[in-house]
Amino acid sequence: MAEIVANLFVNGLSLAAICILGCSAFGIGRTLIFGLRIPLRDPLATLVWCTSLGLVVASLFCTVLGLVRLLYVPVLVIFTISSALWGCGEILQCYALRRQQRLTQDAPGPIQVPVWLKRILLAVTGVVALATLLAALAPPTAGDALCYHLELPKEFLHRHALVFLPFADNSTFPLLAEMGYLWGLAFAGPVGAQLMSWGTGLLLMLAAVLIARPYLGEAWSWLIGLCVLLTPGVTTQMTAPFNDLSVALWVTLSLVAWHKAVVEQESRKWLILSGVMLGAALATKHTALLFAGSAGLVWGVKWFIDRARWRGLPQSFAIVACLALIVASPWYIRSALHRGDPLFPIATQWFDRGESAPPLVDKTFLSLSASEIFTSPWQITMWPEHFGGYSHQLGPLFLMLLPGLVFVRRLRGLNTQLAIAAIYFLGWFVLRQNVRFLYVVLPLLATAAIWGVAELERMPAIPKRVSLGILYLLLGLGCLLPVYRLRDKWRVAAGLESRRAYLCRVEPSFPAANILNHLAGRQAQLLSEDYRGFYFQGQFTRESIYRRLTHYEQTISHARDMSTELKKRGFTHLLLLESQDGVNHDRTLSRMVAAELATYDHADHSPLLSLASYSALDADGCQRHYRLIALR
Amino acid sequence: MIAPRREVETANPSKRQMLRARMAIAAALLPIQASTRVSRLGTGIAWAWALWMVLVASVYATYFMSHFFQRLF
Repeated sequence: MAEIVANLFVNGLSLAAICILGCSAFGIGRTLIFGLRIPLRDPLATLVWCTSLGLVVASLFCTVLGLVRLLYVPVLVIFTISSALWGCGEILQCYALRRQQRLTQDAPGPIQVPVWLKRILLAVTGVVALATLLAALAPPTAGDALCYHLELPKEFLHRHALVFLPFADNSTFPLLAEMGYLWGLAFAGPVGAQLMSWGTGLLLMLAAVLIARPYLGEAWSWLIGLCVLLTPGVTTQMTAPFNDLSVALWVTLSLVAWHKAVVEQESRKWLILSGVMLGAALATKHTALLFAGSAGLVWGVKWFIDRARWRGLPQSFAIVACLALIVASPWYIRSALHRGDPLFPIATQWFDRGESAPPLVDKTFLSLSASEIFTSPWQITMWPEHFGGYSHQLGPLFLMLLPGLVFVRRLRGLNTQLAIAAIYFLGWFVLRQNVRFLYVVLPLLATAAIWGVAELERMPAIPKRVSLGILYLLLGLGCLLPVYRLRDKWRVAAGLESRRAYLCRVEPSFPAANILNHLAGRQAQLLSEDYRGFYFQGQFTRESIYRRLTHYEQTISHARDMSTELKKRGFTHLLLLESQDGVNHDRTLSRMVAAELATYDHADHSPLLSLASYSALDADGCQRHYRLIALR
Repeated sequence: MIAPRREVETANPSKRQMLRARMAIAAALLPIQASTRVSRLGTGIAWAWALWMVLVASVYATYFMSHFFQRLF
């Protein structure tokens, strides 16, 4: 009983921490928006803009602290608490202002949403939000998160600076989202960082509502937000700290602000927010470059066709581009300084530093042909495992609804959104076919898809009932998916299982990390065949990258020299990994260890001391055998 | 459009019920008002879209269930 109470208390602390972080972000954002005198007319826009801008600014603040070597936990905690207290004041002020103002209602959209449907939408949103929140209370175990989205912030925090890690390829990527996770990590630990990802998913849903509102009105735009929220990949990433949702959020908000400034002609100050958000997206992932290019091309064509109407467009472009450059450039300059390539590793072949770059692997499952492009939506929907994984899929909704747009009435402004999405999709098809990179255009596709749903109301009775029945069934299944995913994690949320026990049961690298942390703590220098380093307190180096950059295996002339050579290079421990289910894995280090052990009569006489040996079932269903070795 | 037989010609009550049911289905499937080429086309498109959705949902459900049971067992 005491353990359950303790576990629930820890969960409560994490929830309180994310509320404090949210408050803090809101306070920072609202102060800036109020200072810029940008009008926010309703609570939804206030919440989304203030929180998102605050998150960007806080991440930038962490970046600056990292660059000046002041990344200390006490500094971040003081910053968080003071800004959270300020945020509380801002929230109270918002509430007081709202009570004074008369509420104005938006004009109803072209087609009304039935009341019963609104209630169902509210219920479904609540179920999904709650299920993903409970799942996010379990410690992170996603591979990429433990490899770099959380591993790099952990390392920066330990070294109190935004250091260059030569044996971590990702350390010179644009890392703004990771700096946001660093903020969460410093204040609330890994679960706090994961809860920030959950919050980003909710903000993305609300941002989709904002982008759709000018086209479909208040009621239908909530359905668009729900469509985004129910995308299987979005609910997956709400329970795992990746950066795709952050990019999608910044890009969506950039478009919303652009629309406010250029189309609705509200205030030129919206261009500041558009530029900052686009800069945040560019500072998070390289795919934002493709999106910026697509949007720029579409709006450039619009300006070219009707220059009289879009007279101020070049100036608007310039303002947004300058601000985006200011926000994003530090990351690209950092990459250029350390790697000689601002777009490392995607443009390395043009910068003549090919040796240091990871080998370019063709990650385009589909070839560049008309038939493949035409059938790609079907393939992406039905076989997402070929495009980055089953968990990150978009679901069948878009494939079902988007083809019908050819036959429905034209919705003013939707063509621009679809043109941006189409050009981005072509770029995605050519460069890197990972379904996660399509989240950027998810709100645009959702707007188009839900317009199709709205037009279904005009169909004859039976086909309408068939179509809507299928859609509501999918809605229900989409709602059940996050609940189903909770099956492994509900015990942690309910306090029945501690976080440590959960990690021992689920995360294959955790037992080795546990042992090594007890024995050596921060003093450990681990060379690992596995890629998940977050739970190791010491220095973690991936063997494949270290071998690619140093060719250390070529300096070992005799089998017995391996451990001596690695000790000379500063390593204290080795982590060997063997997949027993036929998954291909580079086992150079394992072979060298086996070769050295073979030269000794007895393993006890060798300088390689086996500390632990165990098997674990990985998330992909493969059995993996781990062996932790000390170099004595 | 299905031309219904005159009810007076049908003495059998169950046959009258069948007739009414067929007329109701026909009314739902096709407009009762004078059918024009445009409205027939629109109805055909609506049915095509609905059947496309059924096809996508069915195929997706098949793949989803096979993946689900593969993971389970």
